[in-house]
Amino acid sequence: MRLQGTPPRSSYAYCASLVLQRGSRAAAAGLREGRLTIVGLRRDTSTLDNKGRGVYDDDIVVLNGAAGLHSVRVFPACTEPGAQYSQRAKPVASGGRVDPRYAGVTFKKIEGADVNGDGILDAGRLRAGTYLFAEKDGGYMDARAFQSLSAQVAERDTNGDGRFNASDPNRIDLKGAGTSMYIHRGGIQANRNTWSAGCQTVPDNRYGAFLASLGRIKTFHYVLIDGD
Amino acid sequence: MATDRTFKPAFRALAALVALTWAGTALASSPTSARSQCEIGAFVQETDPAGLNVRAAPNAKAKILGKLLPVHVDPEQGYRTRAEVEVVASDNGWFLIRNARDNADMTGQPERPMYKGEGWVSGSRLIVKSQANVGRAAPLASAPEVLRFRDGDTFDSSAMMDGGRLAACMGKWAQVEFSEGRLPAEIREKLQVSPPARQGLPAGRFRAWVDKICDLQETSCSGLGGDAP
Repeated sequence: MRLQGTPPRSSYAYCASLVLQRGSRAAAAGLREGRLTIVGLRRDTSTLDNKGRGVYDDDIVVLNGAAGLHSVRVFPACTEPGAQYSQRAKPVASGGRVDPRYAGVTFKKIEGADVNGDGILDAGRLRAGTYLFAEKDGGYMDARAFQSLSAQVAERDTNGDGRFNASDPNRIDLKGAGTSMYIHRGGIQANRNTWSAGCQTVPDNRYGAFLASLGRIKTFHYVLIDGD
Repeated sequence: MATDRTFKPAFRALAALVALTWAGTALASSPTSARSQCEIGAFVQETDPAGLNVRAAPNAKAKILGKLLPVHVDPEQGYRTRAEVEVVASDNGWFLIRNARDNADMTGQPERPMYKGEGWVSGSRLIVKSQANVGRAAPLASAPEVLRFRDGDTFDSSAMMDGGRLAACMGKWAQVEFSEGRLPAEIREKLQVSPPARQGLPAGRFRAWVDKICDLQETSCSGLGGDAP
């Protein structure tokens, strides 16, 4: 479901139903009690898209059910890493890339974890589920940001096809990510770089509004849902 | 205010043993100094508009080879973007760096030119982003713990980066010297600093070895592993 242009009441009802059906018990209970809850609606996107710089084609939805308010704010977001941080995209001395499929990627740096022992660091995305986030003391990248309070589960693109699915052997990574997949500001939409190596990023030109929608809240449940 | 933890005598002895072992290893690699090899990414915390000197040797009198860019500050938001360098060795507070680069994605401007070759810079102008939540007495995972947040937080916040300067490096570890004067109160209040971390340093300063160094300035690193319990 596309939330842009959808009436707020319908958007709230839809997202709340997702939290109640697919979120953890604690998240569902919190929403019923009127606590602010964030929903991530992910559209599966290749890490290779947009020259590996990520795409803001996901939604981060701030649900506020306090005192019957039932407000909903929708922000563009990126919940998947860009291949710009993939070892496979690194140029090699003989020309080309470590992996020829990455020829169109604007390589930046290498990041990831080798979970299948092939000597290649694998890009990771946050696995769908519920995570309790807290505001990071001291800020991050000179702004407010949010970090999970418990270990996160990553999915790794072990076959390097840019996707995270059943064709990736050993793709579930319970240890490599730790609590490192933050919610933080990303590049502005005009620059078309999401700055996600697995984090949930909101474009900087919308980040102020996103923070304002949270108020001074320090902790919240984040329910990430895979869509089409 | 940062607080000290009380370590038992046996723990202190172990710390000394590990430190001695490490020192021996470091000296063995270089007969003339405490030079050690490493492989970490760091950021240039230089506010002088003239930039940071890169020198031919690890001292302030050595020939200047070039300059590294000062911190870029976004005029509207105040966001800072620092030059990024690869650090490959350290020697008495100086660091051998190479492949310096601007981060045009963060500044939103064309990449600014700067010296990209090898050379030595002072650690007083270098900072690192560690996703560890434990600082140790030596660059070993088994070395005694000397630094930790009460709530298990990691050391990669803007405040912790601002509060520390690179003191030494070895392998994929960095020794960071923190100054309490540069840390905000909410950070100082939850830091647990053991006495060995302050040993030999002026009041208000402490050092710890940290790993899980993330060299990405614009995001975090998702593959450095989970935190120690």
